[in-house]
Amino acid sequence: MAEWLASIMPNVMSYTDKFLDSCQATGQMFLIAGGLTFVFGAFFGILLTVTRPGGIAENKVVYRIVDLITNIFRSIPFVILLIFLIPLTRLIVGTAIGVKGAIVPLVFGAVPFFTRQVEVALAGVDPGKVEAATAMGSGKLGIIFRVYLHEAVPDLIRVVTVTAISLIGLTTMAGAVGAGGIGSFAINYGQNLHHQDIVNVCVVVLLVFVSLLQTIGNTLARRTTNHALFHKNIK
Amino acid sequence: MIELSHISKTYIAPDKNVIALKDVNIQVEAGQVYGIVGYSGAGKSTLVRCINFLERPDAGSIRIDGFGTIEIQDGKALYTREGETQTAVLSEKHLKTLRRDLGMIFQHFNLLDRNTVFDNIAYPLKYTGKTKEQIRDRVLELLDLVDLRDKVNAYPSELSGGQKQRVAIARALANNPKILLSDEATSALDPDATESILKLLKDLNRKLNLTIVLITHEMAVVKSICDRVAVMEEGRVVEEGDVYEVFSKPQQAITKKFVNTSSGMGQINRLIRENSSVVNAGGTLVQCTFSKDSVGEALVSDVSRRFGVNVNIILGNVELLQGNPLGGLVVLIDGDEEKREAVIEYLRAHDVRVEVIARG
Repeated sequence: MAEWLASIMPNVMSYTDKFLDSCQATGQMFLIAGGLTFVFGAFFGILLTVTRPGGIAENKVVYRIVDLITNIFRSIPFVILLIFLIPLTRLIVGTAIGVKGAIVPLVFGAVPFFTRQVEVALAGVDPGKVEAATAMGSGKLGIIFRVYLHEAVPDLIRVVTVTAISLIGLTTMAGAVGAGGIGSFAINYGQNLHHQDIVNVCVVVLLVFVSLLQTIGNTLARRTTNHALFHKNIK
Repeated sequence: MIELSHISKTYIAPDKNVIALKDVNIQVEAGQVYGIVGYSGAGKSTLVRCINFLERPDAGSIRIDGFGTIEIQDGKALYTREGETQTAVLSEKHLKTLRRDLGMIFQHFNLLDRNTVFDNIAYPLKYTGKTKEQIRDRVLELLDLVDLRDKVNAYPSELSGGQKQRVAIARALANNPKILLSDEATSALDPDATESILKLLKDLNRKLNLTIVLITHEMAVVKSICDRVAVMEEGRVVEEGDVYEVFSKPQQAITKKFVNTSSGMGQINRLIRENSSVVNAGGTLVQCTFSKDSVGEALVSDVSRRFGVNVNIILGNVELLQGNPLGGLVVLIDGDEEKREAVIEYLRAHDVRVEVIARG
């Protein structure tokens, strides 16, 4: 087995440690930045939904500010954002390189994107359902959790998948400017040392990971459409 | 009882303001089925939403038995609890109390698609301090009430329109409200489902002494279950009264139009428009409405014998309203000018409402 692997990707096999470290670094960036993006993006997405004109907690000032900031960060290309945020990153985590240094720009890059996606997913919830819940005496929190988030689950799963996949792309870009991970492995050991097999393997690893995410996302979204995720029968 | 007094509401838009309600006054007695009818845009949706404050009126007051009074003063909503004199600014908490006492159903049902029938009906019961067993028992009881016990584990996407509305009714009644607001609840249903939902509403009205305020653009709905009706046009209530009275003696043009479309008498307008030979044969075309006292008499043969005129029946219809018969006839009276007038006088003297449509 090892011999066969060595024959089709000799350079990867001679840098196994580096390769595994890169995978781990990418995994870490993905999970930490992804977790933070999920929390902040969901928060701002909900905030936009409830404060928008006609929303359940209409507030023009909050809506305009969040909307504007989201637009600003959405329009800065990620590579520029990486450099632009270096001083802020140093301030927050003490360093601008490595996995730690990559988290801040990754979160800034992904949150506005995810915020918009969440906003769109929640906008897909029929306003009639919100009205019915209000008429039943549901409060704002009840409406957010029991109507908006609950009914939008299939769409939320879809946007989480899309955001997760785009976040993987961002981590590799961060790798190009010193964050480590698969992106920097492909550039430093593949491209710069002329080891094409390293680049190829990096592509395959990312392809498998993205396909896996997409498959899980599609399956869950389908299973939760017009259906609870965990159905329980009442006798 | 529900009492809406001097309710006004204007929607403010950048380009132009839309007046939705203009000084509306209605009173709904406990146990009544009260219909509000009008074309779309007449303000009926807004009016019914003022009752549970989904829409906030700009002026006026709302009094509901068992709850109290909400009065709008200088743009502020003030609440006085029933039996008390102290007023407070209306809060979210007051509104929750109010809304738990007012069920509401909608044209498009508005069920949660990812919840089973059980969870949809349990929605308003959760977070009200009830145990799981209490919630379960109440939901099953409600499902029996709307005759959908076997669908307890189904999802809305697996139900027909009529079944969805039954679930919505069960959900609206979960907290034992005394009042049910119905916003075009049968407008999206086929005729069979419409009939069964109307029957269910009438049954609930009798069984639970449930007060129902329903809005509709279909006079047939009013005819089949309402006790009283208000007709709305351009944000005003233009006519109001007992259903039989309004149907037998409609006053306003819009009411006549509604009454005619629902009884089939409106057909005559089509015949006139298309200049059919049936109506332009000469003679006076009149529409007669026979109410309780006159519907049983053989007045047509009576007048033709008595005055020696020909009475040609173009359209005829008899229906039961709240158990009382209401008849409609469109006839062409042929003969001397004086005789025709005498016939009309005679009919009017016999409690027939006569309206001259055309003189030929």
